[in-house]
Amino acid sequence: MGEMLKLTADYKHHPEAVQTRLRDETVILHLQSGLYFGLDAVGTLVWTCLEAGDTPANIIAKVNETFTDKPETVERDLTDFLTQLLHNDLIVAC
Amino acid sequence: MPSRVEAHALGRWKLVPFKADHAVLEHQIGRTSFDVISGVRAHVDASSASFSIETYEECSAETIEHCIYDLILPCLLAFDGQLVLHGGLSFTGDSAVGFIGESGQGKSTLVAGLHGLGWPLMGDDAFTLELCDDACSARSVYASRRLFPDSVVSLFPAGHETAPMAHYSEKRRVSFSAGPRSAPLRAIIRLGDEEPNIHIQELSLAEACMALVSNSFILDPEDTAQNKAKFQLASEAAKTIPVYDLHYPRRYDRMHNVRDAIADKLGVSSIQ
Repeated sequence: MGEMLKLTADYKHHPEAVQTRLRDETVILHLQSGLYFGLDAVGTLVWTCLEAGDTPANIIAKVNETFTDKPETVERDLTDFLTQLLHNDLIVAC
Repeated sequence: MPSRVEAHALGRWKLVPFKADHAVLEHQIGRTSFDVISGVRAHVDASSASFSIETYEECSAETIEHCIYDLILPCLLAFDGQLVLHGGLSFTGDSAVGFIGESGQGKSTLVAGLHGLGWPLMGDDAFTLELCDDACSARSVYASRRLFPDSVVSLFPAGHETAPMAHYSEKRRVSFSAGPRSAPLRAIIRLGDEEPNIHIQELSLAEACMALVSNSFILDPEDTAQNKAKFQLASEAAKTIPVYDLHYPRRYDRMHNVRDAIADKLGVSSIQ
């Protein structure tokens, strides 16, 4: 079982994760594993917020301000997404 | 060196006779060794721009030639900083269309079929991309046409001269008059799974970037600098060249429909 995501912890991009921004999407390459990950517009927003130093809880709040989805749906989806980023070594705890 | 290997096609790289001491090249900076196919190992020395081939089994000249052109040379060009895609190129009159996809998806058969329908084949194995400002050109690594026997029979019912490609493959080399070696690139098309109807859809930029990366060559997959450089090239290419997914029936009698659908989508002439 992988590391648990902590909503109030600080995370940063993994040093082995390089990114390219393609309009409102992002592609991330993990240099060590050689795996590629594509992020859509919402994923890119989350990725950018992480870069700016936002905690998962802050990001969930920001996305809730931007989109009209149910808050509990946003929290569940973003927690899943951030956990995937964590388990694929694309982000690490500061 | 096999007699049919053209030295000029290898660019700055030279093929040198294998010496036993090459076996210690593994894991040294600028040097790498890899198994090209079962029984054939390549040793690459970047510092002297040379490579050699070690064979463990009896190999025909055709097999060695296939290893050099189809499997080693694209990796060497990638090492030199080029984005090298596994696929074929067709010339549509004023530009090229690249076809990429996993092995077995029918790239060689499609570009060979399009050749017979008026879009000259530039090469069916690999091509490089050259990006300049907002434009992109494509260059075939070499002019090749390699087909399975059933494709040869279907595409050339009256018969055609062929030669073996490699001892471990049924594919045959089929002689042809090639189109230009390089041309401005109009689009790249990724061959998807077979579908009864022809369907072409443009990929998003992120999807395009990942499609280009996953269909490209690299000399050493564990070399992070090479991986990063390839990723950046693919990213730039995705911004410059549209990439499409193509689903179509693998039927020779529908190939002209496939050509017409591509021509319509890309705005190019279906007949030269």
